[in-house]
Amino acid sequence: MAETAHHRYLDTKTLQRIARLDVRARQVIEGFINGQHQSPYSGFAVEFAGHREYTQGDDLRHVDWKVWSKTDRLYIKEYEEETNLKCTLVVDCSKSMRYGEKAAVQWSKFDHAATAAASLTHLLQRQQDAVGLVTFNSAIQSNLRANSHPSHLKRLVHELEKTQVDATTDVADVFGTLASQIHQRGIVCLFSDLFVDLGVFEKAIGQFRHRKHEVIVFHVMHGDELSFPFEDNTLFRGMEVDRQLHAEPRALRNAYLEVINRFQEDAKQICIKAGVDYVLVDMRETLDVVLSRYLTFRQRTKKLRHRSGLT
Amino acid sequence: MLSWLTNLANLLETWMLNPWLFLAGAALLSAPIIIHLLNKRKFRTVDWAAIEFLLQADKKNRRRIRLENWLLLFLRCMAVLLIALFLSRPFRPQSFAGGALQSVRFERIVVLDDSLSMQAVHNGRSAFDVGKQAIVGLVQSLRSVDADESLSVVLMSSPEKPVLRGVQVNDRTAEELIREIQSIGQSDSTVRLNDVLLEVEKLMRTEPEYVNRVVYLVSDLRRRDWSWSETDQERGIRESFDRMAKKAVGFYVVDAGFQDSMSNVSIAELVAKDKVLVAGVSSTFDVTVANHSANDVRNVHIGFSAGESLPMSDRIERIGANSTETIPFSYTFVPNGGNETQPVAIRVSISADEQPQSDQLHADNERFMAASVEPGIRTLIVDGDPSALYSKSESFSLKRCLTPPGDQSSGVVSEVVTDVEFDKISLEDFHVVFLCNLYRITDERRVTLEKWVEAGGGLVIFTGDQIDEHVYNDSLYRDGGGLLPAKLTTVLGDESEQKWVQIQVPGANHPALSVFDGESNPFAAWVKVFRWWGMDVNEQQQSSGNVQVSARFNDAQNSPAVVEKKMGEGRVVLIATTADRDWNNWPHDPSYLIFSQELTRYLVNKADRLHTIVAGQTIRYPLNLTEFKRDVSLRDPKQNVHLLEPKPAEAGEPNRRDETQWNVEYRGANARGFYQLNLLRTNGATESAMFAVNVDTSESDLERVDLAEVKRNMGDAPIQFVNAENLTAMSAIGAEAELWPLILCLAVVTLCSEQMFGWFFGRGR
Repeated sequence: MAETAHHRYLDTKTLQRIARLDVRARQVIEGFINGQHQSPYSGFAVEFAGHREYTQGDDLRHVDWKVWSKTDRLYIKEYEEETNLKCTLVVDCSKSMRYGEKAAVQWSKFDHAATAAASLTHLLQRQQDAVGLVTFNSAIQSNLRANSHPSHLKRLVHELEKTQVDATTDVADVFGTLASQIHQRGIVCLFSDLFVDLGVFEKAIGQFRHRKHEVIVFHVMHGDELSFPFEDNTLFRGMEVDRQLHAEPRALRNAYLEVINRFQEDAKQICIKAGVDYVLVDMRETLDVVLSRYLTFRQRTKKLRHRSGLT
Repeated sequence: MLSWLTNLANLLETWMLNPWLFLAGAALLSAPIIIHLLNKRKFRTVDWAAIEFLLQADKKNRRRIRLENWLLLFLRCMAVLLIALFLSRPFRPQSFAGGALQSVRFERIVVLDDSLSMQAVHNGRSAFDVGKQAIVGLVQSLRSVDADESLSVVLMSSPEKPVLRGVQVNDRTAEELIREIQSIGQSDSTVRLNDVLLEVEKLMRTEPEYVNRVVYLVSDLRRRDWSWSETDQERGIRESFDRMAKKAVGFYVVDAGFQDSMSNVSIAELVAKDKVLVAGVSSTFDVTVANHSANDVRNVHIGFSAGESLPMSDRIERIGANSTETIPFSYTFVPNGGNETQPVAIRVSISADEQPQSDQLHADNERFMAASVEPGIRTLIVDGDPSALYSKSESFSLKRCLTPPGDQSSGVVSEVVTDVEFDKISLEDFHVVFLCNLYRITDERRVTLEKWVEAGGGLVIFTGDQIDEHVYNDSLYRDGGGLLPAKLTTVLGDESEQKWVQIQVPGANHPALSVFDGESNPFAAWVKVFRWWGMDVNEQQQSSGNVQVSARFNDAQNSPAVVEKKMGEGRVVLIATTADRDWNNWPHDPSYLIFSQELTRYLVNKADRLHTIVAGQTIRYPLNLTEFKRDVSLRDPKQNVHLLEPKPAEAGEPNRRDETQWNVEYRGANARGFYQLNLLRTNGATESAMFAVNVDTSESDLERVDLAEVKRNMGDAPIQFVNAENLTAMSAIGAEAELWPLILCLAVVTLCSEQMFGWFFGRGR
């Protein structure tokens, strides 16, 4: 692709794909909203934190006049993270994420992850929150600063579209750099298949937690990877590593599934240990189901946490 | 490489029908391996993200998967091998061979023993009936079988002419077949197992290779036929058995005989005491009766009849176990007045009616003889010194002594010819020829004379003054190789008849010279010999027993008086003195008469045995086409008339005279009794010759062979012995004997387990 960036944006295919993504994202959110009986705007980042006494210099807009009317004292209403919620979407664009693009329905893990990210972006933007995007493989590929402007969604989606999915995943370096770059506390959403050394992954997660970021791990797994549906004699070629295996899939299936389930379980345990939300994005399920399930769950736990005084 | 393969195929041939098919199948064994390798080459490529996990899983499972793959490969190879084996139709090596893939065709060859002993009866059934019933049972069970079944039935008495040949057995033909089998008649002949086997082998070769043959040998297993010793011929039998059994899908010896010990009384022999039966003279016949059982037999009645005369009968009180008794019968044949030979049928029969259980085989209770009754012993006197005057000829006394004038027959008929007539006369009709003082013998005559003597003629040479010793020594003596027993030297004795010598017989018991036997025999003293020919007897021939000096003169040298020589079947007697009274006074002496008669009987050796033969042998009769027409017919004992076709005698055939001699042959003489050959002379007159066909006395012994011995004799030939009763139950013989059903089962099991394991392994474990 030796064309200019401008032309690439106007590429029909790209535009179609963006449009499609847009719709998909909206559908997911709408579906989510329909599933919630409460307002979607009561989502995260507008949580009431408490009152403090007014000191000079505070913005008068934040004075709780209702309290003043009853007590004749000036209290400032404090909100947690208020409108300043910053969400950084970290999307793995290593080669292993390309799996699925050769299938009959060309839909790779990266596509799925990007859709999920776009959906979340759409959701967050409607909440007036700032969303940033980082794509990475062995190094950070692109880094869009968090912004809550409505046009940001388009930029973000465009960024996702033009992402070159290549190279290997290296979480240790990338996450170290990233943790130091994101100054403001916020939410970090990681979209990845986690095909990395889990020890390294654990350390990388720790770095975010260390800086008090809330981390959500979206573990994107292709259906094939979870069910291993192959029948015929197959040569499996590694996507990130130069290894291959000639095998009779039927004979290997059970053993493989055992290994992959353990891997998934290990990843989940690491996340739980680090206080990180783990969401398995199984590509066999539609995205809205996965997201709504997670968001519902999250809301419930948030409330629980709030009530029990935990942050 | 190819020869190596051929050797391998030959090796496999001993236990499978299509070794080549098997080898091809074995080569196909590589197919699953090749398919496996091809499969390995044909695969989908998937770029797989989770390769690390896959590798881990593979590492854990590699050994198990490899094991499963090996097991599957083994099962697939096994299946291919089994299918190849199935197609190659293996059989259990001890009993099976021959045939091919496409056939469920079976040819059942039944060889039925119809020898005399099969007629033995036990509990009202003969072994032959038992055998036939077994075959009928076989047909009954085959008619409903699906396979293409054909039946051949061969009788052992005439294996070259099968009774049934490749007849299809099905519902349509079965009834007819059974009728035909029931109608098979018994024969009285014997069996030569070796010939039978060779013929059946020939029969087997005529059918295509892929027909499955099952051979059944139905026999009563008598020791006579089945007990072999270690001679070459017997080894031939064993090899025949071996070859056939290997060629056939099944080879069964079916025992139709009876297990109980059998008793039998038979006529073992009927012989005439005299070599030539002469009409008008009493002839004696010895009848020998044998008892083939473990118990004595009492009161055996014997009947004897000759021609149309009233039968005579006699009785033997007792015959011991396994022994024989002989009883003589005397009979005088009535002369028919003519000079022709007269055929007379003599029949002897026995019955042991008082003890029926002691005689289980009746066929050997009769014996026949086709007697050629002569008007007398035919003698020819060749007179070397004939005379028109009464009593002056050389042969006068001899002729009168041999055939005395008068009504009474002396049993000898004689004919006198001169030396010239002698050259032309045929010698065949004469038993004995006398040469009296013959000056010379032509070379042509000498040759026929030699042949005639060798064929059994009796020649007497009287010497005399006309004899040319040079001619005799050169032509007849030929240094001991000719007719003359001794070399003539010179005439000895006293011409004036003042001195004489007498005849002395040194060794007693000479049949012809018995008249001179004993000390101080009066005849010896009365006979005076004045002159005689001196003779040189070859010492060597004498010591070998070929030439013998039967009588000597009592002169100083003890000159030989009578010298005789054996030549072929016949004899030549040389008498040193004359036949008439020229050199002696012997013709006036009674001893001359006795001597000439006894000598004639002594020299007769042309017993006409040709006309009495054993059942199964060929009736052969020489036919002179100059005398007879070619229309010959034969009437057998059942009064059936067969037209026979004479054939020219082969050039090398013994007794062949010239190209005018043809032979009439009849090979179907399997039944006992009289066969009459009717001939037509060229002048229109009819003539007949009679043949008597007797059963082989060796068949009378009903002792069974030891089965273990037969099996031992058979060696490792794949032959099975079954009882006739069991034959019906074994209808599917052959089909069940092959191994293919077992192999098919194995192949199916292998294929099924391959599928099962394949499914189980690929179930996604």
